[in-house]
Amino acid sequence: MDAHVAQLQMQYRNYILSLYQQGFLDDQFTELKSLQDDGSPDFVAEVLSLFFDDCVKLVGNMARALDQIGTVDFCQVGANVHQLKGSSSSVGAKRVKGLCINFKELCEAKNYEGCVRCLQQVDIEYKTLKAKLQDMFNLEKQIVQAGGIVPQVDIN
Amino acid sequence: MVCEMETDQIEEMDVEVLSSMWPDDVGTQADNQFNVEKPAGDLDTLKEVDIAEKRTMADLKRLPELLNTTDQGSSQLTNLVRQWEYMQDHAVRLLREELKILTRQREEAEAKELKIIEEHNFETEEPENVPVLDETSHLFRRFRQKKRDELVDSKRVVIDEEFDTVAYWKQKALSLEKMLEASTERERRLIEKLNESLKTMESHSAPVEELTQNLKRAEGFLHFILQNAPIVMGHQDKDLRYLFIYNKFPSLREQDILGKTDVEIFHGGGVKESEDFKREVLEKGKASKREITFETELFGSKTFLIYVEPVYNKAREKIGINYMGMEVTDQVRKREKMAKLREDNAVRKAMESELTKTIHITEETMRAKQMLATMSHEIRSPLSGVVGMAEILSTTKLDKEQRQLLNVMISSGDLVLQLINDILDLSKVESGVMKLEATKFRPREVVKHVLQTAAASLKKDLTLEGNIADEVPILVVGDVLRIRQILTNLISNAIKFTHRGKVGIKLKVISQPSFASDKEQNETSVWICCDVYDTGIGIPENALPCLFKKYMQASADHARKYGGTGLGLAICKQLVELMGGQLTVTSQVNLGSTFTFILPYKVATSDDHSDDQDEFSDMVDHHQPEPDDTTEGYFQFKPLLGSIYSNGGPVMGNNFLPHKAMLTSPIKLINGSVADPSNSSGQSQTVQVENGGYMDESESAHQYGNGNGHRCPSKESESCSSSQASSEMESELTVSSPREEEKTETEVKETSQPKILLVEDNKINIMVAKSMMKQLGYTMDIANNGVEAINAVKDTSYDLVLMDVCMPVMDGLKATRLIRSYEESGNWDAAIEAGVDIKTSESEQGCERSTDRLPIVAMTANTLAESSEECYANGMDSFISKPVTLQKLKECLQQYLQ
Repeated sequence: MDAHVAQLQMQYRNYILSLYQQGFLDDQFTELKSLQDDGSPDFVAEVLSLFFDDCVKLVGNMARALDQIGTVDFCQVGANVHQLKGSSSSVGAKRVKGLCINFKELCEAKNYEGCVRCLQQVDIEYKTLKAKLQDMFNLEKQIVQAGGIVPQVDIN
Repeated sequence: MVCEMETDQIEEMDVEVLSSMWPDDVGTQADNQFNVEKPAGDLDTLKEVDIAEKRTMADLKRLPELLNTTDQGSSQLTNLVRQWEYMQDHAVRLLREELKILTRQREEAEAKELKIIEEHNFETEEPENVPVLDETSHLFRRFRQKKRDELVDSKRVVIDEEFDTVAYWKQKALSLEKMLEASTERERRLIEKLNESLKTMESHSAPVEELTQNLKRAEGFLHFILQNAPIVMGHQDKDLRYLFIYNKFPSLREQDILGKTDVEIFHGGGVKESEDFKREVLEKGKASKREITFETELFGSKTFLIYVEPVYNKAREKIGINYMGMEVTDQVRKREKMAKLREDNAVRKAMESELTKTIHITEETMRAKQMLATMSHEIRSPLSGVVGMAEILSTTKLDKEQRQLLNVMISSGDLVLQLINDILDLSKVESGVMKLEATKFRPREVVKHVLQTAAASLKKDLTLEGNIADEVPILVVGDVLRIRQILTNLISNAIKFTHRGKVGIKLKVISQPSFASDKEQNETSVWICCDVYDTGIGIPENALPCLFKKYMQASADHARKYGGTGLGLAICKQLVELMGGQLTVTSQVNLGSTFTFILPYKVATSDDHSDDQDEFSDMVDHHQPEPDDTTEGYFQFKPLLGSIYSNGGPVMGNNFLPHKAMLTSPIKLINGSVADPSNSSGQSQTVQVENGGYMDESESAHQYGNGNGHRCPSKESESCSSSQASSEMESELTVSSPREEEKTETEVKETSQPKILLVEDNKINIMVAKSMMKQLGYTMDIANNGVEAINAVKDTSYDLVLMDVCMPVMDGLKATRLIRSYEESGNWDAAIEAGVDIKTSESEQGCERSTDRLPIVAMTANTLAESSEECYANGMDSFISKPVTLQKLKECLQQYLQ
């Protein structure tokens, strides 16, 4: 049993590390995790679900705005990108944030094609991250079910 | 012959040019005419011999005598005689051989004649033949007689020849007669020759001429060989007087040398030595060689290789010495130079290798020290974080066990910090980086404070006392921080090793010590001797020498028992020496030790209190001057009821009144700050201060609104140790009153909770920020945009606003501008103009605080659009870059919530 827990913990640790190494997450995510305590045990999950809901909404908004060929409201797209950028920055979704920064520049330049391409990338990226974090939460769950404690991962 | 000049002769010897043995410029003009030409390639030997002959100088009367009387002389003569005799013998032998040949020829001839006569006789019996042979008839008869006696066979021959004819025999007899005549003639001539030869032999018999020739040849040969050689030869008699000298120094005349000894001729170094050497050879009777360097006025410094052999007469008695000297000055000089060079080389090599070794070691040491310092520094920063965090953790709700563990953690952390500080101090002093500061301070206060601090953490039954002599100035100038560090170190050391009795500090003025250099002395400086004494376990004498060495303790046993790093005393010593003083120790085992340090101070004028910037100015309450404190020379801190101390001195009463009041309180001295009069004097939150022991000091200070309690915690080593000790103490004390503590804590929160407004449109950001605030123990209100923010600010009195810059409806910059405009004008007209819907219902409240400037901190995403300049230009006080972290938030709150 213990061995199983240890194995799961190791797996979890490695998985988290890989997320950092592959640039999905940054220090802000660590910050987020550190805010989770006994008073708010599901804090990270709550924030993230909020974030992904936000993503769905914002990406939808932007996709609609960019669909209006000829009358694209770049300002609206920009506002959405800004929102997404702020959110992703706050949760430490590094890749999404990086894309948003590019996206915003393209938006300001009113580069339609660039924006569309970027939007597609953002769409893929946040979905990938979601899946990855889903896996992470699953692992956490497994560890807890096995009677273990979710380890703190020092990414440094 | 007298005084010839030895010419400058340059010889080719190997490849070098050999200078003359004697200098060129000595000798008279007259001598010069005898100068010998330099040897040319094709030299006439005869001429040379002639000239060489003249070069000899000898006592001519004595020389033959010498030759006759000495072994060497006689043997030479003998040789010559023997050679001559051999030659004569040879001549005689040759002559004899010739004679022998002649004799044999004659005998043959006679035999032949006899035969002929017999034949003749036999044939010519007739008498006519007789007259012819008349002359020889006698011989004939004799031969015939002989023939009868000896030659029997010839008779037979004669008989055989009777068959020939008579005529034939006649003819033959005639020819034989002619032959006989010729033979006779030859014989006569030979006899003549022999006689002649004998005559000449007689005339050759005198060998003198030949001997003389030989001698001349030998002499010539010697001259030829020796004329250019840097060689002096001579013969001296038993009394070492010269009888003969060859190649003498040119300026000396014959009479200057012959018949005199070396000592009589020359003066200077080496003369005596050579004389002694010659005498030694003479005495021992053994030839030997020696190198002697002469230092004479005559020819300066010259080195000769001298060969001396004793000379015997025929009776084997010593009659003097032969002496030969070859000048080897150049060779010796060269040899010595070589030897010196070799020696220098070896020395230099040795030095070089030594130097390289030293440099290597120094470099290694420096590197090691540097690394240690760097490492220490690198460790200190994160460790401060660890300790700081642990201290924050201690402010949260913890159960008893957790708190105890945490206290251990904090105290251990403090210990490590202390150690690292020590190492850094040491390396600073060693590398010369440490700078001393000159500040005015009151020695009495320093002593008192050190003792107070020590007493605060005292857990033993010890009396702490301070005794300052009256003549010690009230105010002096020195590096008070370092002096306190030394005192604290020594006192804590003393306390550590003392179990009963007392520990104290004694200050007195002394005259300038001997180790001080004169330039340090000036009229305004004073030497103060400080004794830190105890009645502890003492130090054995053999441990004293290494006491001040780094990482050394009196014994491993002590290290185990008492702990510690062994750096304290080393640092003390280095600091004292850095300040130009001296640290010494005297000790007796089981009786105690006394550490004494002597330091020079400048005496400061005591009337300028105003710029008294020393470290303690904040600890002495300036508003309540206590004249006693600056002049009192005696303090005592006695143990009272276990861990509680009180002041025994009469002076202390006034100053420590609050402490006395506290003694009646159920919870007692907990924090080191209790010993700090300014913190506790006249403060009503005495009880809270105790709880403050768990808190970040600055934070608690803020919460209590204690304006002048601006104290930096853990900066001084003693505050570290005291807070550590107090923490330990507290763990016991809190057990008795956990409830009370809890109560006061919540009370504090309620009364001092600051009001914070977060203006942010992003829900996720809000959520994160809120969680962080909660973690830091704050709650906050939220506004989603600039308009909401303005309304919130209008309605509520906030202590801090965190403002996002980029927001929908109204951005942070505009909102800030409007808030500032309100603060200046006292109305929201600008906001209304901007289209903000202002609810006027609670405007009164807003007016109340309109005089204060509301701190507004921007939250920027660090993009160009949200530059910090823009933030400031729009009236923001500072900014936090996004994403917001706990650390940034904490710093911000610390800055603005005071």
